[in-house]
Amino acid sequence: MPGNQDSASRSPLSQQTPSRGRRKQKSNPRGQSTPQLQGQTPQQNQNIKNASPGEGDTPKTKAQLRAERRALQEAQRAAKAATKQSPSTPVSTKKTPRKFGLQMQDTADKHDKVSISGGETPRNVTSISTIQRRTGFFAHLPRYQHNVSLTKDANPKIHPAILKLGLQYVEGVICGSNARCLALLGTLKQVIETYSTPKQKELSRDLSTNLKKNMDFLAQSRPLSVGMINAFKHLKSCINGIPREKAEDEAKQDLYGCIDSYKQSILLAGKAIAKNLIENDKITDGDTIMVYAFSSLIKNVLCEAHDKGKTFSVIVVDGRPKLEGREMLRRLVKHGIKCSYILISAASYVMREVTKVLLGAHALLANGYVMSRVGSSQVALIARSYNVPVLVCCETYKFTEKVQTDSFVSNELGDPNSLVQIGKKENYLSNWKEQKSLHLMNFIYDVTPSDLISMVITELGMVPCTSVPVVLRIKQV
Amino acid sequence: MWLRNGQMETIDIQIKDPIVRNKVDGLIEDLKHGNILGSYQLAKNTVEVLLHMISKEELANVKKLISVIREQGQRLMSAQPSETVVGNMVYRVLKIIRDECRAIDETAEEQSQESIQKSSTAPGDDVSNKDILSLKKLLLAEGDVDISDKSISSLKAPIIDAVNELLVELDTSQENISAQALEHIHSNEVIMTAGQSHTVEAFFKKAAKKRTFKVIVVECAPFYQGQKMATNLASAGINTTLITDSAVFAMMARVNKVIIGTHTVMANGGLKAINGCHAIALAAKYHSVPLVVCAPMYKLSPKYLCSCDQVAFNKFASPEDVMSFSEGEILSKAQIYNPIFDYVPPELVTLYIFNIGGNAPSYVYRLLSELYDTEDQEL
Amino acid sequence: MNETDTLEYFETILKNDPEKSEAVAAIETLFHYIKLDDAETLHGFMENIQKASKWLEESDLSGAVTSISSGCQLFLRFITLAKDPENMESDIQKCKGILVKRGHDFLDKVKTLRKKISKLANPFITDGSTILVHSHSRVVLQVLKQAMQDKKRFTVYVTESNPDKSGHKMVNKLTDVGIPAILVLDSAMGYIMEKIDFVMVGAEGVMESGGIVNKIGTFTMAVCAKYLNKPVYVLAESFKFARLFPLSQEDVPNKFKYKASKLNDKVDLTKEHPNVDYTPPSLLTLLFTDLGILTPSAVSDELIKLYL
Repeated sequence: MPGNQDSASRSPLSQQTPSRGRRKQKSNPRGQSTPQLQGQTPQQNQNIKNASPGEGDTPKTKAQLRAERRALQEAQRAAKAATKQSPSTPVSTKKTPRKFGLQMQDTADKHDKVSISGGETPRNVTSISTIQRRTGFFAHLPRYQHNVSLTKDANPKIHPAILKLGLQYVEGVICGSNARCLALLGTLKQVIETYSTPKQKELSRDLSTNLKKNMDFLAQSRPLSVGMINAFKHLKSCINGIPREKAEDEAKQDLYGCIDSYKQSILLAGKAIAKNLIENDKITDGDTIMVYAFSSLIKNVLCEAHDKGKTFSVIVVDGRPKLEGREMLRRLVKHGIKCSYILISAASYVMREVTKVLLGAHALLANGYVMSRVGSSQVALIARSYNVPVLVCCETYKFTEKVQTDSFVSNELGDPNSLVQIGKKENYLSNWKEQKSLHLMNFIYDVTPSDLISMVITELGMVPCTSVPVVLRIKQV
Repeated sequence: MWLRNGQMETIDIQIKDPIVRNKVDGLIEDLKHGNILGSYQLAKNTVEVLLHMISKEELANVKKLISVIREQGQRLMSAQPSETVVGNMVYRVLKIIRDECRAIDETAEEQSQESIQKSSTAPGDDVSNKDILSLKKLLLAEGDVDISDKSISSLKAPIIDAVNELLVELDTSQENISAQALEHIHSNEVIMTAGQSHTVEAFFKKAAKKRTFKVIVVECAPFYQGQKMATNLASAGINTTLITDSAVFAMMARVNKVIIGTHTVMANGGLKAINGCHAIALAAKYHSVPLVVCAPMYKLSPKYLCSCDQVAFNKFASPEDVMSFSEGEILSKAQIYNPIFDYVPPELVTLYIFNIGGNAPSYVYRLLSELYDTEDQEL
Repeated sequence: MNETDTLEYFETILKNDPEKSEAVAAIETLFHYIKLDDAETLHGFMENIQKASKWLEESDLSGAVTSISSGCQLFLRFITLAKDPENMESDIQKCKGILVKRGHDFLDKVKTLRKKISKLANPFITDGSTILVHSHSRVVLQVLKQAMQDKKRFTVYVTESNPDKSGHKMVNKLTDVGIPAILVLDSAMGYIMEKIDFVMVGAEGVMESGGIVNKIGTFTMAVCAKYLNKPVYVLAESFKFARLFPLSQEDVPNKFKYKASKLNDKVDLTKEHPNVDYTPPSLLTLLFTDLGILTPSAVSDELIKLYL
């Protein structure tokens, strides 16, 4: 992470400048928030600043430094105790609301509510209750941050195009693995365009570090998808392959070519998959195909099949809270395909009429499991119980060496508040935050076991789910 | 019209008492408009109406009473065919009447004959032997107990008593089910439930008094009763997590038990439950998680599911819940389904918790034979 | 009445009414035997009847040994129930009198059993269903005929059912009534199973476990159906319930599996093709009997009520 690498390596006490202090706060989204920083007031920051040795001091012995560090630690602990006991301090941490409020506000809100609801809450209860609300099945994953400060204290090394992209990811303007990956490649191209090698530095090394910083920033805004990681790996290998002597412009041209060809391969893969499906009569006349949520690849496949004259009908299954299926329905209906629409709870009812299930994928894991939008595994399970074949369409660039057996170890958490809205009806959960025992869980992906899937279609052809490592091996050669 | 032994007999089956008639018509209106919410309320209202009928109607003999109840019961059932509780209660009352008749018959026989020679009957199997259609009955060539001409006067009191007992059973069924809560929930369990069931809610609240456990509630779109359930449980202090329907399979890997309520228990041991329960049951089976169903006895129905589109098995709600009319453009070109119920086959259910105790789905047939008489099955 | 007369009587009944179940014919024969029997004591009477049942079981007149066996067992039980301890020593004539009367009622009832079953099974055959049946079963035929009369449209696949190719007979009978019937090879039942909505078979015997003994090939069909999640419905009259509990295919008594003549000739059974196989209850969905629609676990209940 930009700037944080420095702070992370050193002890948290040697925070000197205010900017560094705030950068430290930015490190909270990654993993558990360090309890020390919770409810820290600017006054506390000042204390720390004053307590720590100034920058211009004479070099001290190691022992002295250690002693000073210990003193700082004690000061911080005392500060933390003071914060927890005084209910008034959280109020002062509330900064004036800005367009992208501080992430601190989020944790402060929690403290606020806890102390307000409890009155003079004893120290233990506060800490336990806040911890309770965060523990659960996904305690090891980054919590959903909806007020992340991105533009604030942005590292000047982050390219503005990347900033924009990060924002688009966070806001959900760009979503869907293919869309995100293509957008990333486009933006990286822009970054390379404006990049110029500083003196004394090698293009390949410096560009790599630069791009890495940008990617870290994106990862912070929203965890990277497997496709994006693979695309970046490919680009890095291209960069590393540039010989030292090559002129900058030429090297850049090479890199553009690399990016473009990768982009093309993704788009062509989509076309090849559609072709495979249609030519091998996997979509036949009279089929009733079930699809889940939105997948750009599946949409293209169905549109192409329709264009080639196949008559079939589609049942679009949708899941809350994202309701991406509506977008799929819209586009298919516009294309002239006969469609039905249901929510996932009705999938069991309609499954008798279905002849095939087509699912998109976010990633294909090396043990043959498919990581896709949450709910796909459920559709696959119901399909299996009715003996309906489940086909997964996935380009090979989404294949990964990772293995996972369930949906918990690695996932992405979404905004729990999005569960509250239920349309025109009165929202039952409008006060969910006040109920201490109530948690809302919203996660984005789930993992479908390989025995629920009949076939995976890639641009290389139709393979069984278990052949993912074979494909990975071929690609590396 | 009653067909018996090839003879057609017409019986006057009009209700004479105006109060009773009003009550029956009132109930039919309520059923048609869906004014009564909840199976318990429906069951109670039905039994109360039938009780009135029995006590107030002036009828000559038992045969007429049974035919009146059958006729009126048929009217009630056809008012709202998907609400099986109404039919269940009618059958229960009919069985009560027949049982009382047979009981009087038995005592009369015993008094008239000195020999208590019943070599054919197994010890302690008196009443049940004669009314259960069985091989034995076939062999012994016993005719159906002729209850036609029994006078109603001596029977009215015991019948009314028995029906009042039925009402008490209805009232206490939720308590009896919750009383078994501690036997099924241990500490630190993660339990999944779906939608909103008052029975299950009481079950959890009872267990929460002595045990700590976590509950995961599935929200069950598009009716979202799960959300209401989650808030209720959370206000009772139970650690509750709400998830969407799409997350069921993913979450199931961490669940120890699934406890759900149901709308009806079918005769083969299957369930007619809220939409989405089949998916939950399949996920539970896949992960080898036991599926426990809490159901009071009045939800047990003698009907079998012949196919998923069986008339009155499934109801559909307005598709507006799924996609609002504001999306008009695509609405006109797409078909939208919004079924209310789901069928869960008996092999996916591990245990039933009835108010009389726990049972396997394979034993449901036996409970049926105790509650309902086979002679009424053609209703 | 001696053996030849008994068997002759049995044969005549079968010839006169080919639609009659063999078990019913056997019971009628035994009944006739009672009327003509001249035993003096009850004990002798019992012995004679048991002898007669044995003759019927061991005759090769019909292939349905299982149902004959259970029918005879039922009849014997019928007799023990009728035994009045008080009259043990005395009047065998009186006993016989009761039996004759009961027998009449029993036989009258038995005629209506198939009708009852078809009434129960009718709602399960819906418009547009595709049904798979195995070999030739009269109960299934009656049910399908009834459904046809109720103007339902459905298709039937019938397995050829070697070695006696009785599937052909079934197809002919179905097409005569106007039901579209297609013959499939026995080995093709796995292939055809995905098109099927449900499987409907008769049973020669219903075992205490809730499983059935039926024409060879039923077990395979049930396994395929289970794999593809198709329901298996069994139609059986209540007199086919038997007090046996096979644990495996081997455990089914040899007298059911092979013809009596082969058993008597002491032929090497490992080289013989069995006529029936056992289908365990876990593969069956519902049993339609005249006692009602039963789940496989309810069968034991009925048998216990009768015999204990």
